[in-house]
Amino acid sequence: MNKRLIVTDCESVIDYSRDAVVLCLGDKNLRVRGSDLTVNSFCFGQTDITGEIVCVEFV
Amino acid sequence: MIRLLRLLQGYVLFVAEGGFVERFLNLCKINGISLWDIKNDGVKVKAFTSAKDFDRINLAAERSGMTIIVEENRGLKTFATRNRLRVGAVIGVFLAAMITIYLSGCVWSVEIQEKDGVKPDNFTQTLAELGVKAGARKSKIDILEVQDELLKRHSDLLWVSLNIFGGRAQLEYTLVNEKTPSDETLLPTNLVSAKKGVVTLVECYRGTPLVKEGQHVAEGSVLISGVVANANGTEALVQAKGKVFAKTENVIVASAEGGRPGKVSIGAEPCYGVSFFGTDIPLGRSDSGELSSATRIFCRGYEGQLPVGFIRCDYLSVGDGSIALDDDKQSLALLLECVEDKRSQFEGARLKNVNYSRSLNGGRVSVSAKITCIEDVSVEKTISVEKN
Repeated sequence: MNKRLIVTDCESVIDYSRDAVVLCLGDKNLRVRGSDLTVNSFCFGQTDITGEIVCVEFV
Repeated sequence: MIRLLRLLQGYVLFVAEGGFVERFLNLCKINGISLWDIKNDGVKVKAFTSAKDFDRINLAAERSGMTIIVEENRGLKTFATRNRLRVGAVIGVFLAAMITIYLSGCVWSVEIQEKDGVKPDNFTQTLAELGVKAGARKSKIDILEVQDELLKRHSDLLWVSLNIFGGRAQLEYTLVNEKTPSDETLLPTNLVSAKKGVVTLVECYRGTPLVKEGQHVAEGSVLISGVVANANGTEALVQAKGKVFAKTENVIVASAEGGRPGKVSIGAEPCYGVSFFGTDIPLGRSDSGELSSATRIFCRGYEGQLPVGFIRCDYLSVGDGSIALDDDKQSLALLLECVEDKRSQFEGARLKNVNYSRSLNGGRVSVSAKITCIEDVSVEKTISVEKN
């Protein structure tokens, strides 16, 4: 099932691959794992990710 | 809405490959280049960006080692650039718009309601002379002036209204009705009582009331007089107008002997026919009477019933005769007849009480009803004036 994740205050993208997106949130990193991930928007401090999100974790 | 705005401003679908995707995205973000619908299939990255931002994307691509390939370019500006040589289409769209705007300011049809047998052609000519016709410009029609002119030119018009709905001009009107002659006579009249009773309410519109509430009145007594006293001491004769309501008692009696007239059966007439595979074919017809019963007889074969057979229909004939009733039913029938006969007499009256009684004398049944009601008992009676 398609899920949507909105992450605010995202500083930068550390890793962006087919099945994972790692975002830098200042002192922590957020890893979003899944499949067919699409970054709907990446600007103005807000990142919008949709797709088959399986796991969201701080790394 | 966002899609429409992006389409109007223009956007580009590009593919970036060969370098560091994350650095490229971060550089775009830092430089204020908005990207959306970013997809990474492991080999290349596809994304959308606005046409304005795409002009600045090369710097971020160079610094991250990405190669940008444009897959799709959309927007109003791109559309105009692609079709810049199609002048004819542009002129055609422009002409169509101008013609539509011009025609929407014209009257397309004039609708006149047909009423009271007056044909619309009577007013079509006048409206055309006043500028209200198919093809006329709406802005040049002064509705108030047209309405005034129509009333002046057509004396049979009482009221007229012209409305313009879109391209349709609609005219509505009302004709002057002929005044109906009054059926009032010039003779002065009194209002007298048609029945005896006790007055409950006096409504005097014209004349001098002679009775008041609670007063007993007899049949023929004057309720409202047509003689009116003037302030200077003289008297005038007028047609008394008003209503005087009184509580009255009315007795209705009805009796009957023997049977009641009505429709009775005078015989049955059979008609025959043939049924063939579901279709009924009559071999005769009964012109009178109602179908009372139908019997079907089917032929039988070796293996059972066949869909072929005969039909017999019995039609009942009715005629005028006498219906025998017992005393109770006879009484009820008499009462119902009384109610129907006297319905108009008590129209407008307010029933207060009804008492029924029945008597049997030999074979004769009599019913009576004592009805107490409040009704208008006033009737007009001409005042006879003797000339000296």
